[in-house]
Amino acid sequence: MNDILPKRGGLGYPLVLDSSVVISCFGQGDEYSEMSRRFFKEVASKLEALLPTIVFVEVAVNLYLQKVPNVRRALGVISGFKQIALDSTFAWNCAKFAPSNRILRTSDFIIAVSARVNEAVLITWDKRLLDNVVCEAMTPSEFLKKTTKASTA
Amino acid sequence: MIRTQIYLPEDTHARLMQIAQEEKTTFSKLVRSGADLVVKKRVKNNPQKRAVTFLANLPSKYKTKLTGKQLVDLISRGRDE
Repeated sequence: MNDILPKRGGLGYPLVLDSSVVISCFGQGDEYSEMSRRFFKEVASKLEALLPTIVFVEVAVNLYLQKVPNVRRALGVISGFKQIALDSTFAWNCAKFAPSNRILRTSDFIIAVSARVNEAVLITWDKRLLDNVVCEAMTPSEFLKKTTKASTA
Repeated sequence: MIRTQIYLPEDTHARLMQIAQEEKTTFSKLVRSGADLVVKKRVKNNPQKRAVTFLANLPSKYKTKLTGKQLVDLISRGRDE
């Protein structure tokens, strides 16, 4: 583990949303879509949720590919999340963490570093991101379980 | 629903009773719709809350024919290409 920044994460810290969690809300009839919507209903409104700009682009591209009606309006609402810009400072952070990366593709790596530098928990359905060593990552279901346990403890 | 007790200024109470009678509704319904307006206004003025509420209660017209898992796989495949 690279120790440039302390690995924190956990409850009380911001969340970074991966494209898989946002896009799965647009699906239907399975656990992924149900759990993602439940995650937004029960958890995300109580914590700060951040969206890497690359996630916004991925969501836009895929919603257009799926021919979702009124995509511009949907994106307008989704742009309400505070976005993490891919600027030169962020690029340097990515370069610092690059030696610790063994398995992530570049876009996954950018999302993981976004969570790490914001000391946030990454919420994702992507198996590779869940196994990453750059930041703490959880599925929406795992995060829901954790918050339920914390509130009943 | 949760039963609760609130204090209202007398003139507000009287006006609400009058509106309820005129519009053939109940005093409670008017108070509830007022409370809903306050909540909606807060959501409208907070972009993140608006985004969260939108995704949590995604209107069916925005839903694709795919399952959530299929959409997640699309994202993953897109990153592999």
